[in-house]
Amino acid sequence: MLPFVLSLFITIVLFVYFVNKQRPKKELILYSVMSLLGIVQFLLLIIDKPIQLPAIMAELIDRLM
Amino acid sequence: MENATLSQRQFLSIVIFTTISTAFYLLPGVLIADAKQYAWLVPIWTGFAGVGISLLWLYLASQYPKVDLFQISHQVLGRVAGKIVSIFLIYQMILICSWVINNLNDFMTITLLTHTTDWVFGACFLMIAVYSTIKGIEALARTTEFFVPLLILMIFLFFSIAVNVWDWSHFTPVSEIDWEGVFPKSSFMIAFPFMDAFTFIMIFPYVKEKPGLVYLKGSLIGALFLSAVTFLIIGTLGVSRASHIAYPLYTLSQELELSPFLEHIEGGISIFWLIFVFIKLMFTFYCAVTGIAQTFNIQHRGLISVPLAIVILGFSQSMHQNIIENIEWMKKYILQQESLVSVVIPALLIVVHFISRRRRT
Repeated sequence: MLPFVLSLFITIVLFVYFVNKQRPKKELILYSVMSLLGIVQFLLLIIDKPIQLPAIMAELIDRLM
Repeated sequence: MENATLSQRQFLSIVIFTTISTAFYLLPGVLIADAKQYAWLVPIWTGFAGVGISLLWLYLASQYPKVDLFQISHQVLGRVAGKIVSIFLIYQMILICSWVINNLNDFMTITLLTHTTDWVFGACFLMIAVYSTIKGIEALARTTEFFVPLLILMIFLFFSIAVNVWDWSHFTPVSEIDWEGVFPKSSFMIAFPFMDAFTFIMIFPYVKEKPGLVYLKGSLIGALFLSAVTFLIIGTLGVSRASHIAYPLYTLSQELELSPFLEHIEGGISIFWLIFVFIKLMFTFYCAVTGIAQTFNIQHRGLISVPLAIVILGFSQSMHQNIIENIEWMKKYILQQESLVSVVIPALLIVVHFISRRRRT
């Protein structure tokens, strides 16, 4: 729970900072998308259903071979 | 691209440290379990094979000097296909970073800090990686260079103390070599750590001269070092014991006695492993951030660093349940998985490069 709360807090604080700095909209969108990916992963870890990159790779390799 | 210059020595230390890094602690036990007393041969042959495979990327780097990995794919394949390849490369770098943190978490929670929550280690390392990425490649190279004398001293000290408990009988019986264990079973080591070398192309443009040659030298030194460490573990702990321990090097350092009042030096020995891990993480993280910045035309590296660190920290928590699962996965899939970025992609780029050159002429 703590990493989720911390990452959410850091993301919001930095987002406000970058908006105040008038960063281009494209950069802010990329920032939001990447942050969202990380936050969603932490959320999935809380409910014990995280995205497992090695499992995805193994599945792909098994299908291809 | 940054306005930076790296000396050959700085680049060489980055290559050696990055090659050794996690493999240094994680692999010896696995290799000894597979190849028994001949395990020390494995890093040598896999090192040569891995370096041979990375010649594909080196060839591309020689054809496109002064541009990095992502710029090469953009120049060869064009904007759209180049971006697709870049995304594959970025994905692979994120995977490597997550792996490094996962290995670090496993090691710390099993050995040194058993009561600490595992994400804390990754978060601490990533915080410094974010800072060093913002500072740039020169800061990273200087940090690596700073650690070189310290690590050489510690390694020399460690090897000299370990020799006291050396026993040649651990290499007996000098029977027929287990070819199955030395070659097919241990072939995964070509991929980890030697196929991660594609990331070095990212800093080729910054190296003063002959980056390709320095890379080859660094990788081979790394392979020889890994072989020496495996040899040392066999000679001190023996095949049977080393193959049943998760971190034989750590166990060895626990049992070493410098003098009757100075023992249990594992904390000190672990610190230099953590330095190797830190440099690999810092370097791969830097490459991933630079790659994203180039692919999506972002000016400010800091803007991507923090969310990428959050993504990597999140993924590192779900890489594997435990170290056994990690090793099993590595043995079964890592060679095929790394082949995509180290064989398929550079081979594709070389073919397209030749076709476009022939069309032009």
